Amino acid sequence: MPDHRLFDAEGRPRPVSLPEVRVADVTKRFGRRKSEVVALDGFDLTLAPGTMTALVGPSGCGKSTVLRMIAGLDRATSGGVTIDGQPPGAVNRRGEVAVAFQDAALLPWRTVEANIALARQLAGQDRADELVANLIMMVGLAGFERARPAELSGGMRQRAAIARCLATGPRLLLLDEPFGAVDELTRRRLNIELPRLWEEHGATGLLVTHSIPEAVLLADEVVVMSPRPGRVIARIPVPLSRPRNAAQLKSQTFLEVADRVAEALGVDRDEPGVPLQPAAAPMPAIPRIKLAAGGAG
Amino acid sequence: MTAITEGASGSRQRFPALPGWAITTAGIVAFLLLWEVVARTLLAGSYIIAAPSEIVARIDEGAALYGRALRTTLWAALLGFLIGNATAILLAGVASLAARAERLVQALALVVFCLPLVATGPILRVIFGPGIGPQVTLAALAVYYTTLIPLLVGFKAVPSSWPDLVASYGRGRFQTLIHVRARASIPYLVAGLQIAAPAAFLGAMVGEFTGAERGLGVLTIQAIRTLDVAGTWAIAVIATVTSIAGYVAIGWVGKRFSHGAPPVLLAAPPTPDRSAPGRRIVTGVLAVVLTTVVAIGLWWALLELFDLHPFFAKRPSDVWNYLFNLPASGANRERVLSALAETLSVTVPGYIAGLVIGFLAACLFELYPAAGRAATPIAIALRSIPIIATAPLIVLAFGRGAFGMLIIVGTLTFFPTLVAVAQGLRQTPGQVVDLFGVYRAGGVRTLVTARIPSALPAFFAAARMAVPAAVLAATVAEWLATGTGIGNLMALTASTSAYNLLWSCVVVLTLVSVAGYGLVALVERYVLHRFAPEQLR
Ligand SMILES: Nc1ncnc2c1ncn2[C@@H]1O[C@H](COP(=O)(O)OP(=O)(O)OP(=O)(O)O)[C@@H](O)[C@H]1O
Ligand SMILES: [Mg+2]
Repeated sequence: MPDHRLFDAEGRPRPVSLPEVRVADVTKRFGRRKSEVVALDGFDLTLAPGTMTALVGPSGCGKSTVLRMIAGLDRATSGGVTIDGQPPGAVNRRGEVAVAFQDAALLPWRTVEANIALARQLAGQDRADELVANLIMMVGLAGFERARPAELSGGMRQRAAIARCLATGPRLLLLDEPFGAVDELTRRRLNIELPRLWEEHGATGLLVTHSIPEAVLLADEVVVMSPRPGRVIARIPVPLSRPRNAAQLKSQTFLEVADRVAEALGVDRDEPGVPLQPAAAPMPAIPRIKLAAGGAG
Repeated sequence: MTAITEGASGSRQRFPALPGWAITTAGIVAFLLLWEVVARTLLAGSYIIAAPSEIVARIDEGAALYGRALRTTLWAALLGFLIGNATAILLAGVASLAARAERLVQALALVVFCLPLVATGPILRVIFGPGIGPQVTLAALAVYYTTLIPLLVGFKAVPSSWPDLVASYGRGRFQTLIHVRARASIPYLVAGLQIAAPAAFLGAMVGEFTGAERGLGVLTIQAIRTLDVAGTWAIAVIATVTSIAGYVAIGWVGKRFSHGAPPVLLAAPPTPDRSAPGRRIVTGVLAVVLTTVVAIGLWWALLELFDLHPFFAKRPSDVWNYLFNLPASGANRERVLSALAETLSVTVPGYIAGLVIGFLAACLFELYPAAGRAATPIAIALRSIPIIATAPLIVLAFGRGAFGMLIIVGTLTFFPTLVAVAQGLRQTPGQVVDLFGVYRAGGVRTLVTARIPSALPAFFAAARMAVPAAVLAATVAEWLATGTGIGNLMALTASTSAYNLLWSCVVVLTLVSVAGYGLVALVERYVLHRFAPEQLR
């Protein structure tokens, strides 16, 4: 695994080559004519090399859409997305981009080990059993190498998914509400573990989240989006020192930054998350998980 | 899938005293006893029913003969099973790799599925000559659709994040197919293969009706000709037991490979199309035109490719001329259409009766779970009977008239409907039913407001698939026994080498089946839209 750790043993920043991501004046429309949805309109974002950026905003404002375009899973209707000057896609094949999905996306018939190894397989890398074993240790799943996803708790599944993200040694990490589906306690624990993992691994990162504390604790900059059509309405730097730790949650800086993010969003800081309804228009449901087409439910 | 299956068993435990297998066994024993008593008393000497004891005696007596015939038929069925399913898997793979091809593949597959197997038999017979060629081909034709469609559904039955995961590493459809879809579709494949086992056997027997030298199909024809009631029943029982064995064996193997229960839906649901109505009509018409052109092109190309003699291998132009371009065309059309009308006049009522009774029976079983538990395994077993083997029996029992045909078509529609609806009713998510329990809604109320809407897709899937099957049943019965309708017309033309007429019948019947299928799909769309919009998504 390439070594692009951000800090050396003494905690001093290390010079490493990490990608810069530019999203320039992007518009994204879904559907056509009458049923058209403008998800993003004139959206700009830059992910500086080696930083973690948190993207927050009301539900349906286009956060996932931004992330999917950077991951090369969707194309912009107009405007450009580049990773170190190249369009996304070219870099993906080398395993340099990793995406964590809200639902963990572990294949139920594969063991934890095999799910993690799948990333390397897809990236065309060798099996590297030792690395996989190390990653499993790192995310605290030792002993569950042979377990299937169904035997894991929600939090354990998310950790497995994060281990899988790190397995290819990516230089760009895209996390779409990685803890959206886990309970509050687990989420808090993972919020403290994730910065450590990320700092040890070293990568440019984008984190989509609904939780203000999560955004502030994990990110170097919090980008706040408007309701749909999504634009950037505030960019709030997080001047907390790295490596991050749980104690910072109570620091004055933390509370101040969290207040500014909450204010930009128009909510109270102590609310557990960003309001789930956009200000106007009811939210159209996007069927994300499709069971047997036409099946019950 | 898990949420759905959990909901299935959760909430109804009114008769916990007897284990399931005991109820089932009791049901089977009662059924056999009733059969024996009826055969020996009411219907004794009526040339209709042979008692179970007589059938067993007959099988024992003719063990060697039946054994040889069974081996022949099984071999043809097995080859057809392998070829047909391999084709289905290949086609499904192609459709999954080339998304644009999927609709075309589905439409062509439907057209081929709607070919009247009986009539294809004699044509294949001239092409292949003696041997097992026609049996194998018909068995393959009988199985591939019921494997292809669940596979296509299964390929798509994955959360969208799984293909996204593969794509996020810059990999395309092929890797998605290999790593995600193939494995995820196994329960669907198993369900398809299970149905394919009896279907292959059926196809092989139909192939043997049309001039084979050996096999159970040949014995069936001999038994009917000589009014050998016990013999006909013996063959039907052998065919049934073999089919059920295949069904159970595949289910057992499948269970070891797939964690989830096989799903019910075996026909592709109508794809929800959110484009504007005008546009939808245009794309619909285009799809039909494209399918027709490709189907005709394939038909022509295949005959040319194998260099088949135009005396028996009629080209599309021959059929067109025969029906529209010759001085005698008017009379020709009249002949085909009046025979068709005769067939449809019994097929349609039988089909509808089968649907209605199947639906009602499933609802009854849902209200009286003990009865349901006793009857469902029998229904599943009966669904896997090669109905062709029983058609002669039903004609024996109910005469050569319309009523016998009605029963045949009705039965054939009834069992798949019953099984599909019963499983669909049970698929209602547990929470919904519990909610009704909380509000103390009665059984009937829960059934009508909660369970039936969620069973509608299963019902319509069964209804669509039953269209070609009903046409097949009707034409086979006419061909073998009643001497009426288009089935009989095809039998006549096959024996008098009137191949233009035969091909015309095949084309017309195929069109009718496809149209019927489309009509049911339209009704489905309307009903779901009106009564269960959540099922359309
Ligand atoms: N495939 C699609 N087809 C049509 N519309 C879509 C599609 N994907 C997203 N949209 C629309 O684009 C808008 C933005 O969606 P997106 O998923 O990016 O929102 P989000 O900010 O991630 O919301 P959430 O916080 O709820 O995840 C939504 O209004 C949604 O309806
Ligand atoms: Mg999202």
